[in-house]
Amino acid sequence: MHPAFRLGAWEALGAHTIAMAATFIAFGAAVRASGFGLGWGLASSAGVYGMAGQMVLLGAHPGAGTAAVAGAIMANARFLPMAAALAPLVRGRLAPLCVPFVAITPWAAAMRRLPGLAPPERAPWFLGFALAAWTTGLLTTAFGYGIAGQLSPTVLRLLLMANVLYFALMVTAGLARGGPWRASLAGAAAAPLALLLPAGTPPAWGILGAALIGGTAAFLLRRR
Amino acid sequence: MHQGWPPLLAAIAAMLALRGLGMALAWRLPPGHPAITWATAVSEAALAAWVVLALLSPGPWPIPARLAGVAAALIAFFATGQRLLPGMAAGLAAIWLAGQLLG
Repeated sequence: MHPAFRLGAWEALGAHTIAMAATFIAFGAAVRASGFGLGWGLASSAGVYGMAGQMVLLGAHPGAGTAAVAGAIMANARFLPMAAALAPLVRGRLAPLCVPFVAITPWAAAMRRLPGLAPPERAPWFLGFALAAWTTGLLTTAFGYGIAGQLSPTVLRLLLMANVLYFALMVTAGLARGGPWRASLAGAAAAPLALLLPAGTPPAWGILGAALIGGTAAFLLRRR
Repeated sequence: MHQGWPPLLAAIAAMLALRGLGMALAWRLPPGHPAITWATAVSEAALAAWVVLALLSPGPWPIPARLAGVAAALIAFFATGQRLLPGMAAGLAAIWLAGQLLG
């Protein structure tokens, strides 16, 4: 096993895992509450592997399948620019293996960690981190499914907030050390525009719009 | 087959296509290429926008409770030398406490 793979897997354990686990436990419980089976929940966590889209797909009941798929694609459309941003960092024969694991937790960690690693170590590190995080997602989906009904609504609601706090801290940490502050601030500033969208518009459209407006503004300001 | 499986399988294929397309589009571009820089900026902006909307949109907790939670998380995060776990624990505790106080 490549040492960078082991290092990535080791570094995935900690706050990353706890935040992700909390969200996937809540998702597992929601899968059961929505009337889907454990296999469906596991396939969603394994294949969609993006919580916003996974939550949208919980509405994939008879007659709403097409809308749920479209909503999930919108909710996770950020995977495309995320994969494009990651590509130069993991280029090589292992890059195709990285594709299914482009998701917010491994991506955010990779964008902060990979530039500091030697190029040959980057893809193995990413795969180690991503596989550990992905496995955690599957195990905790199953756990959440198993204990659904035993969790109080308050605990479930708190679990859903763990990821929000985790990423709030990640973004803040990036700002504090002079990371991509223009893009983060511009995205945050553009986010309230999403609240102006007509009622009934899927929230994912708002995130996508804010990302395009804020990200492009940050990009243009950087180029000046 | 349960009614939910066809939409799920379609969504899984679409997610793979999104990820694969992003990787393929950037495959031959150098890290400093403007397209990569733009994609990185959009992705970072998406992350920040997602956080802000998760705090300000209608959700499972009152907005003041969520804001109190993120404030407590940030205070604990910086007070402990930028450690994530104490920050998250303080944030969750504050959300729960503020949620109780706000009824």
